[in-house]
Order: sequence, then C-alpha cells, then structure tokens
Amino acid sequence: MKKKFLLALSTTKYSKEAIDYAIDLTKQKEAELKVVFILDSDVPGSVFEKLTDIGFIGDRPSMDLQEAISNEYVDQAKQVLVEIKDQSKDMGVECETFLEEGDFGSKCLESIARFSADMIILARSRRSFFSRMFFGSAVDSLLRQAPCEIKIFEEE
Amino acid sequence: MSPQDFKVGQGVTVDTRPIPLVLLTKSYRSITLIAAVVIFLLIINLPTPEGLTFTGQKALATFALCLVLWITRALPLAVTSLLALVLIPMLGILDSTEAFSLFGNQAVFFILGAFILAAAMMKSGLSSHMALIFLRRFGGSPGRLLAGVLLVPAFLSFLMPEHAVAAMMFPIVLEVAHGLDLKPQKTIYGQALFHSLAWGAAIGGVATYLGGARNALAVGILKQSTGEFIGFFEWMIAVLPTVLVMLGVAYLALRRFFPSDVVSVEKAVKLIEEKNKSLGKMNAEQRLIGIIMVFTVIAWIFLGSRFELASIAIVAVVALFVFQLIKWKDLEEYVNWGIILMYGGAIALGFALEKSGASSWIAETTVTKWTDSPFLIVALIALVSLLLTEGMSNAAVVAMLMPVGLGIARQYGIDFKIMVFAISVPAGLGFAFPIASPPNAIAYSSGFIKPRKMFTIGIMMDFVALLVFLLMTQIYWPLINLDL
Repeated sequence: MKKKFLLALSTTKYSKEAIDYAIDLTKQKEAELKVVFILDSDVPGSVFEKLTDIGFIGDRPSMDLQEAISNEYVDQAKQVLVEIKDQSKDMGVECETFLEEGDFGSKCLESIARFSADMIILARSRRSFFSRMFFGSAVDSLLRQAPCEIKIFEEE
Repeated sequence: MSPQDFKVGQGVTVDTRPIPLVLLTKSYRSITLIAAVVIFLLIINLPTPEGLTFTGQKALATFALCLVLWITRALPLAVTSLLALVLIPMLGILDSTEAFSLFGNQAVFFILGAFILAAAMMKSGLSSHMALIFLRRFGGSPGRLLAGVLLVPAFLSFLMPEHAVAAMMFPIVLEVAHGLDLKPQKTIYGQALFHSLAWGAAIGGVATYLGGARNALAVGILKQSTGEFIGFFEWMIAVLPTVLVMLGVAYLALRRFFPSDVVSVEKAVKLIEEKNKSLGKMNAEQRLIGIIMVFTVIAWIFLGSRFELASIAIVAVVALFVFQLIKWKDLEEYVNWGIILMYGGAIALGFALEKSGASSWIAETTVTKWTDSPFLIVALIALVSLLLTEGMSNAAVVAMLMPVGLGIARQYGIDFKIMVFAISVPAGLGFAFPIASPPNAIAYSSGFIKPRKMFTIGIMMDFVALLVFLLMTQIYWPLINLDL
C-alpha cells in the first residue's frame, strides 16, 4: 500500500522549502501527496474588530474590507495550490489539493485522520521561544497531538 | 495510537502550554478588570498627598481606572469613557449637570460632522473616484506608481479619516498588485506598495482635524480645560511641514529598503485606466458632495474663528440631507456612533482632572523632578506618545496624555498648543506594528507585508518621525510664533 504524505500550509504558514521537500519525498517513496491549505480567518476578523472598536469606522466599510481580505486569502491559497499541483505534475507525483478554513492545528489533525497520513509536513512562522510559550503555537500543540511523523520547516 | 484510531471532528484542541500560563491567558480579562478596580480603590483610600485635594485624588483614581481599561481594552474604548462620565458626578468630582454637558462639547460634534461627510464621500463612491483619478496621474514607472500609492492616501487623509482611506484604497492597491502578478511576501514591490498605503494614510492623517479624529479630540480637551483653541488653518500651518518632510522620508525609505523588483508597471497603469473608465464620469451626486466638501473646508479655514468648526460641520451635514445626497440608513452603516461616547467621556475626564488640580499635581510630582528644560519635556512627551501609540489606540493615547501634558505645560510655562502638537502628532505616526494604527493593520492583513520587516523599518521610521517633529519645534515653529 502506498504511503500518504500530507503537506499543510496556511495563510500565515508557508514555506517553499516545505513544498519542495514534500514533492521530492513523495516521488522518492512513490507515495501519494495530499495538500491542505488552511485559510486563516483570524486575521480579517481582528482587522474588522480593530476598525470598529479602535478605528470607530462603521460596519459597512469594515465588512467590505473583511470581505476583500477574505477573498484575497482564497485567491492566494488557490494560486499556491495550483502551483503545487503543477510542480507535482512536472515531477510525476500524484497530488490532491484541498482548501479548508478554520484553526490550523485542528484542521491538520482532522486531515491526518481523514487521509490516514503517515507523515505531515508543515511550515511555521519564525517566532521567539518566549512568544511561543506565552501566546502558544499551533505547531507545538500539533507536535504533541499528531498521531504521525511530523516534519517542520521554518518560514523563509 | 494509529492514524485510524484517531477520532476527528471533535473540535477539541489541547492547549499544551504550562498550566499557569494557560490560566493566566484564559483569565486575563477578569484579572485586568479586578486590577483596575483594585487600583481605583487603592488610590481613593490612600491618604491624600500634599498638594492634592481629595477631589483631585478621586479624579486621579478615575483616571487610573480608565488608563488600565484603555490600555488593556478589557472593555470597549467607548464603554470605558462612558464609565468615566458616570464616575465623575458619582464621586462628586463635578456636578452631574456639568459632567454630562461636556458630552455636548463642540469637538464631539465636529468629529461627528466630519465622519458623516466622510461617509457621504465613501457611500457615493466619490472617494474611490478621487483615488483613481489621482492615481492615474502617477504610474509610468515603478517609482512613480509607488509615489502615487503613498501620496494619494496621504492627500485623501487630509479630507477624511485615515483608516477609512486605507480601507477604501485597499482593494485598489490589491488589484494593482494582482495586475502586476506580485506574490504575497515574495515580491519586494508588493511589500513596498502596501507599506506605502499604510504610511501615506497615517502620515496624511496628522495634517488636519479630518484625517485623525484624535487631533480634534486633543483640541477639544485643550479648549475645555484652558479656553484656548487651535483653528483648522492654524493646525495645518503648524503640522503640514512635518507631514511633507515625512512623506519625502517615507518615499526615500521605500525606495531604499524595498528596491523595485519589477521592471514595468504598464499592466497596473492599464488596470487603473480601465477601472477609471468603468466608473465613468463623476455623477451629479458625487460632484455635489465634492462641492459641499470644498465649501466646508474653505469655511473651516476662513470662518472657523467666527463660527465654531462644529457648527460649520453640522451645516454641511444638513446640506447633504437637503440635497438628498445621503440617507439616515447610510449613516447607521458608515458611522460608528461609539466615537461620540469615547470622545465625550475623554473630554469630560480631561476637564475633571484639570479642574480638580490632579493634572497639575501629576506634573509637579513626576516630570518636574527630572528636568527643567522645556525642550526635553516636549521631546519626552512626544516620545511617550509615539511609543504608546505602537501598542494602543491613538485616540486613547491622546485621552491619556492630554490632561497630564496640559498640567506639565502650565508648570513649565510651555505654550499649551505646543503640548497639543507634541501629543497628537506623534500619536498618529506609529509605523512598527500592525496594531499601531488601523492603516497598518489593514496593510498587514493583505499578506504582502513581512512582520519582521514592518517592525525593523517601522522602528526606524518612528525615530525619524520623532526627529523631524523635534526639528520643526526648533527651526520652523518659532517662525509661526510657536516658541518653545
């Protein structure tokens, strides 16, 4: 049975190195590659909140902006997934792509189980040890909970 | 546990941080609220210090309470101000009639009028039309397009709130970026464009009372507390050189730190042209709103001292309704009425601190002991304002620093107007963090900006802004009779 590798990316967690590694490894092991892009809904939400509370801007312009940001994230994600699919095709790698929205950690765990993944490859943003300790890290949390091997790349 | 054994869809995420940290984070809001109340009660129950009356002590306690709540945002900013307004008469700092009458301060109505005018510009599409018309004049080369994305929001922020300008221009800049096939975080020019948008809106926002309502708030507190006033034109004359120099610095910094990685912007220019064409010519409604806006600004400049700025703003609002250019429903969607509560409460608190002698007492017991140089005092206040605005609402920074600043100005014989500028101008010039200002947050949310770069270049811009501001106090202000 072919092994299954899962590449998880998000609006705020992207690494070209992780993508290249995932495709190369899948080719080497003659495995299957599943790519999940998780849309980060926190950022547009916090901007919306900031504009209405601190900026004292009305609901309509704030919502228009939130929609513009969300659409942009979808476009960016689709573009990344198309690029990965093209790169995989060029390398002769079997690859399926998925677009999800929600919490990064939970969505990764869901995807691991859904695809019965043997390994998850992901990127994480560069943050200090203290920042991770105080504000938490979805990736650290995943490290403790994931039922499969994890390979992490620091964001460039 | 094998992958097959792992259950999905439970929606449970385990927080793996140390338990004390988890508890601290989860109970942060409750701890903050309790801390605010404890600080309030502690100050009220301490023996009244020498030089301070008991009324002043109660005003100080209310101020400390609001300070904690404004900084931590444990309550919405407007609700904290509302709390201040209630506590002032309840504690007998001012009588209730006087306290509530401060809500009717002209600065509040001026801000309200300015927001309604901005709402009309946005709702009618006039602001987008203006942005595209001006942006079309630039283009041609990457440098010129970048200048356009810096100067157009800056100019529009002379006329409407900076965050409304950034929100309105965000989709336009995004389309330009897509038109040029710029990739988020990967292309330097993409980063430059969004920094440009944020910096332009923020810098332009300090030029008039319209760009940043905090400017009007500062002047409102000044008038209520000292009787002095800064006219619309007077403000512009004093601040415009700082704005122009900062726009020049910003452009040079953008060119230096974000060297263009695109050769041609022809596609973007074409896109702007097409977008402009698709909007067609300005319609009668947009022209009429534009005319009302122009007449209103002229009236603020030339008739501001004869009639109140607020009265002129409200007359302009009435004109919008007379010509049926805006509906009440539009106002409900475009204007956040919380601003009235926030600013009304902040002005009342400032007045209470001043009248009770608490602001003078703070000035005597703090800054006076460190230095006797008025220049150093102004530099310190400007620095504090700049640093605070990186982490909290700039309106809250003004509300916090103004009462203390006026007390210090009185102590040192510094012109009150200089103190207003020293607090409100740097409060609008935070560049380092996404949370420093709404334009920064908007630009950051595009995904094009790298946080590390925003911080490193932003810190440098912060200090250049401070330097430029301080140079103006020494070189330019004496020429306009603002002697430090």
